Amino acid sequence: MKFLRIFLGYVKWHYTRAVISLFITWKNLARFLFEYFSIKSLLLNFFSPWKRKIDAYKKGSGLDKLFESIIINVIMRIVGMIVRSIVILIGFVVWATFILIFPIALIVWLVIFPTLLFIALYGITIFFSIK
Amino acid sequence: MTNIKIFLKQSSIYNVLSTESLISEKSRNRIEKITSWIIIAVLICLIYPLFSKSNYIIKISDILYPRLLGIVFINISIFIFMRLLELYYSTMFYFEHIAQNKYKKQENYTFSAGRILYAGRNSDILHGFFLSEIGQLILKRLGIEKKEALDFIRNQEIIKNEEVPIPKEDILKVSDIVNYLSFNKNFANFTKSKGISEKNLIGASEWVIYQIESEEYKKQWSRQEALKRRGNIGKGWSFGETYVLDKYSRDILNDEEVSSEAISLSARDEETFQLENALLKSSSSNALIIGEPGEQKMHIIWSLARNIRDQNTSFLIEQKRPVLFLVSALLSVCKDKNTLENELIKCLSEAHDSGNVILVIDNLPELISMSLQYGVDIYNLLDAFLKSPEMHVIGLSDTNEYHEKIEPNRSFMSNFEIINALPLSTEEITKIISGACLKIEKIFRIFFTYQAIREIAESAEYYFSGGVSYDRSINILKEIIPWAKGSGYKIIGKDEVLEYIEQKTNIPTGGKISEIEKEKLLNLESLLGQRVIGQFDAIAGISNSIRRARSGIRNERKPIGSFLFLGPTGVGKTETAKALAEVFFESEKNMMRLDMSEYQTDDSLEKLIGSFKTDKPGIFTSMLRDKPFGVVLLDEFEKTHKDVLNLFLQILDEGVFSDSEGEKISTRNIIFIATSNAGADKIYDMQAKGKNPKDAQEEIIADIISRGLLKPELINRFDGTIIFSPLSKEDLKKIAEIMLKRVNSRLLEKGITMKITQDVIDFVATNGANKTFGARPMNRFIQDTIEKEIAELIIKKEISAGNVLSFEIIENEIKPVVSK
Repeated sequence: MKFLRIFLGYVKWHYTRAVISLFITWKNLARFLFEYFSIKSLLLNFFSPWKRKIDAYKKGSGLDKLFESIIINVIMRIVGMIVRSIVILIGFVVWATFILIFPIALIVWLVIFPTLLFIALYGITIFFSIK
Repeated sequence: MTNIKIFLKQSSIYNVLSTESLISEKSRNRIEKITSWIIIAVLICLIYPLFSKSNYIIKISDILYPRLLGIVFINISIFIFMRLLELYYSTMFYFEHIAQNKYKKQENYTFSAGRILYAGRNSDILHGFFLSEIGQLILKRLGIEKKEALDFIRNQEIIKNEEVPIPKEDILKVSDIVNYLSFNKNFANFTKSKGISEKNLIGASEWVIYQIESEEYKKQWSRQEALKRRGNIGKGWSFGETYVLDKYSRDILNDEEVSSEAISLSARDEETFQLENALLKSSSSNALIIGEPGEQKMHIIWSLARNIRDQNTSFLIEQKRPVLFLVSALLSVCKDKNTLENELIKCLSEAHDSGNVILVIDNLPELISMSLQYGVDIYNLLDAFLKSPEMHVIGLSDTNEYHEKIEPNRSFMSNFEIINALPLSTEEITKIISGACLKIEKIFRIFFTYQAIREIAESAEYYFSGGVSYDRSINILKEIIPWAKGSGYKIIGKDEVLEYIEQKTNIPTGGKISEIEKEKLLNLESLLGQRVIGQFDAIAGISNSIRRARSGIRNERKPIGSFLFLGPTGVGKTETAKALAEVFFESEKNMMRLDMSEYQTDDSLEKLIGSFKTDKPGIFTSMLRDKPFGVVLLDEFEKTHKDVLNLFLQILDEGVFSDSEGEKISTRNIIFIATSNAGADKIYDMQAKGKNPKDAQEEIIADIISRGLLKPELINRFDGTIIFSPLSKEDLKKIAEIMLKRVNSRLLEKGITMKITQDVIDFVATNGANKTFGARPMNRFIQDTIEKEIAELIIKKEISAGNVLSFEIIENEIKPVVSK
């Protein structure tokens, strides 16, 4: 009786709470990956100069200096945009892959328990089978 | 109230507990290991024949192939099933500390409480506690051996149909169970017999739960809180670099106190909240944390850093990076005004321009004073940055230095929000060091009982002066490990901590009393009586206070004892203090003497506790730092300045005072003996009237008060006021005999024996003492008469080793007689 109760208790968990837990983990990890690649933050600061490196132009320094500052600042922004684009792209691919993996993980989870029983039975059968 | 079984079944944790009773976590881990090794070994056996050319091996493998494959399948399924059970267990784990599990669903008991109840489901809660793994761990932390525990529980009757004490919050925790058990008479007697208080019981159970849950918490890597700690890529790219600042600073997020994944034991939530609010201000968003010297101020910073790491703070600061700016690193490099100014400006500019730095200056007063010394206009320099809304500065300062160097500059101060880092209580320190202790135990394979940890926290305050209790506790914890290893201890309990402290400080801690000391304590009166004649009350008072101190029942928040000795000169007041120092504190050298008549002027207090202006240490404070344990004799106490008397009001009451630097000095291991001649004339009057002065103590004290010599509140603070009566003729004779014996012992070293006859004793007692100075001139008299004669004999070579010296008294004159 006790074994049956424990077994049923486990099975109940496996197909109810554990599935919820899988969803929670999936949500947490998806959120984590989104945060890890700082996608939102990189998009918001997409046009910001790379590591705030800017050449401050002082009034009256002449046209040469003005153009120099503009060029440096534009380059730093472009560098920032390129690096950010790469990270956003990689981040998005990883994130999207992970999102898509979830249904597979869910299916694996749903079938793993009967599969295990099957593998165990199969193992016992071939162990005792005589050629 | 509900029956245990019914109560257990009300929660979904019940099934996990049942599963655990069948296959425990330890067994699961063992099975996982074994199956994984079997899988690897069998796979090797399966693959090897494919590459082998030996017909014999190929033949065997053909026969064994299906069986080996069968073993692999069976073991793979067992291995995966164990992993599934581990998940089952882990996701259902209901944490006591945060009162939730992964599903954040309310339960009616925590996992640990459930384990105890489950163990007692067929008996009662007491049996459950003793038989469960958690209960046994708690008992082990309390220093109770498994055998003792089992012996106790075997003799306990089972309470049938015991009902579960459901607490008000509806979630039953282990602390509730422990609390409930403390009302069980047998259990209370058992713990009492082991010297375990209720506080210890609850503290130990909280510690065990913390240990279990910390480990479980670390395993749950997919929790949102745990994932947040993994950092990110790219968020810092929008912020500036800090090349120069990095040379003189470190990232606080990398400190172990922040990066550790254990459950935080911070006791600084309120101060952290204040700090976060200060940083959120629209301008001058800076804070100044002031407190005692030591690490305590950093606890607030670490707490803030942990909140940032967990993104458990306002979004305005959750992207910030707290950086600890090490002033000493900057000052060690910059040796002139220009370099210092330039480097400082670069650091501050980088912190400002980066946009995400919270600059924590570890010693703001030092930065200010050193900059001023180099001629840097530091106030204006910092002011410009501090006013910027993009700059967040947190200054750390010791309280005294704050009052001296920062507080006077009001306009500079207006940039900061002040946060007081109040000293942590013993309970808080115990909690924090118990967390640190778990790591130490793992590394050094040593075990601490809860009482040991608590004793460390208490002793840090009690036996050591200078610094902050928390820092001292951590130091003791670190130092005790090599000592314990060297002494062969594997378990450190309260006694071992006390033994270590006794060795370190030479202060008897009440841990273990040796046979020799026991003898001394029990015979203290007779030992003191050998030196002090006729003052039984004084000897009894002091002996009792010493015994109280040594047995550990005294008030530990006061000095060991404090006595006011009143009486005429030469009756043994000082001698009593000396005798005590020699008998109990090993040597007369352990008596520290202050002639209080030297401290009558207005600057007396400064002389004693040090001067803030001149930075001179005090005589009294230095004395106590050198010898925190011994006798302090305060001669002619009433003659000192009133400020000094007021200082002693505090010392005698609290056992602690602050020196000129504000550092706490403990006098809790000191015996104070204050002597005074005040009232001597009254004592003589009484004696002349045939009254015993000791019977009229109140009258004498009233006389002293009425003459304004000592305040009543000060006299009341002494443990005892003892009247020393003038010495009787018999007493004087005894003193004379003691003094003569001392002369004889010095002569014996030269091989000369001196016969001490009753005539000589009477001669010295009659002529050597007088009414005004009591027995005090006696020593001088012996020097002028007996020692003088002996010196002449030695110089004239009329006496040598092996001779016997005696004295004759002829017409009140003393004459030496030498015989062989």
